[in-house]
Formats: sequence, structure tokens, C-alpha cells
Amino acid sequence: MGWRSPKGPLQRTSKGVRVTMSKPERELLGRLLDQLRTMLLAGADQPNLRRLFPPAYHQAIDAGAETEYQRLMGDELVAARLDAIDTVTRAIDDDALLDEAGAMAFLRAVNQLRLVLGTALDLSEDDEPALVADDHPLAGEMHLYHYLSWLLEHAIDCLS
Amino acid sequence: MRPDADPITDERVDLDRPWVALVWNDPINLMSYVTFVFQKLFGYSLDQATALMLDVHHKGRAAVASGAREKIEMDVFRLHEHGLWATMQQDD
Repeated sequence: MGWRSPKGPLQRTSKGVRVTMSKPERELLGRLLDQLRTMLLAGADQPNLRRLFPPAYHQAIDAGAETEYQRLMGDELVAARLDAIDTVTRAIDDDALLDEAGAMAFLRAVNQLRLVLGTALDLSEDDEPALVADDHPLAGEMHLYHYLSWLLEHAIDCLS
Repeated sequence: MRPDADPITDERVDLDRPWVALVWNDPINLMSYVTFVFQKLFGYSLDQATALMLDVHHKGRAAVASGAREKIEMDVFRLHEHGLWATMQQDD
């Protein structure tokens, strides 16, 4: 994927973390974030979103507490996810500087995308899936998943 | 009286036992990301966070925080916010 900046789009400066992306990379990430925003607004109870909304209590042991947790925290979790998406969408649109909270939002937003895509791909191995041939039916999704993994590793390196 | 209604033996009314936040192994979250989140949320050193992450990876789960129920519920919420598979229960 030649449009990727070789060093990665994040750079730590004395004023914050600068995000610099090529136009294709900005458009790709923006499109993925838009899709996730649309999914979240359509409702949290979709199969591909299940990793974003795990149970807090073991249902068999404490079903009542789980219902109460979801009632109190469910909407807040959706709001936090949308907030991270909005922060990153703004940042990639104008080569922004992110403060510490914004940089963490970047990590969370990219990780959300990985979780949803990984769920859709039904990944079940701990290791990163091998690269697939370009004519594989899920080649596009697999390439995206690898891109998001690379972007997340890069962001962690930059913030560590 | 039903045995499980006895306030002495019913574990759900035992207020003394602390709650723990458990993080479970999952096939998608990156090891580096899990380690980083443990450092950021709980102030663990890189070594401590790495050891906990390896526990999650090899043993299937690790307790990453303990305390009062309200505190642990907030810890679990923040772990969920960061995309980790976390649950809470009273310590054994």
C-alpha cells in the first residue's frame, strides 16, 4: 500500500502529537470511521459490534447486576465510542495536533475498527492472520485489518 | 428458610470481600495494546503491565484491579471503553 507514509502518520512534538496523512489514507480512515459511526448510531446490539459491548458480569451468576450495568453504562459506552471517532475524524481532516486525551482517543478509535473488522472476519487465532492472495474473497478486508494493526502498533510506539 | 437466603452464608451480601476486575484473553487485541492500556488506566510500570498481559495471554485471564464494587465497576467500564474483554466478580 504505497499511500502509507513509511514512518507512520503520528509524530510526537513538543506541542502534542501531530497527525499527517496522505489524502488516500485520510479518506480511507475517514470512511471506516464514518461506517462505524453509522453502525453505532443504528444500535449496539449488532453481531459485529459484540466485542465493543462485552458483559461486565457473568450472566449465569449475576444476571440482575448485568442488566443494571447495561442500563447505567450502555449509553455512556456508545457515547464514549462516538466521541473517540469524532476526535479522530477532526484530527485527520486538518493535520491537527492531539493532546494526551486526543492521542488516547486515536488509539481507541483505531482499536474499535480492528475489533469490528476482526469480528466480521471471524478471527479466532491469537496471531495476526497471514497475508492472503489478492484474489481471496476477503482480501480487501484482510488488507484493511493489517493496515489497522500496523497503524495501532505505530501509534503505541509513538505514545510510549 | 431457603439455604441461599441465609444472610450469613449468602455470598452476595458479603460486603467484606473485595471485587476484582478480570481481563480475558481474546484473539484480536494486540499484546502491545493491552500492555499499553494497563499502564495508562492503572499506572502499572511497563514490566508489571507486560506480566499481566502475559498472564491474560497464557492463562486466559488476569485480575488487574481490586477494591470496592463501585470502583471496580468504573474500572471495567474504562477497560470496555478501550475495547478489552473485562468482567468483574467478588474475589474468591
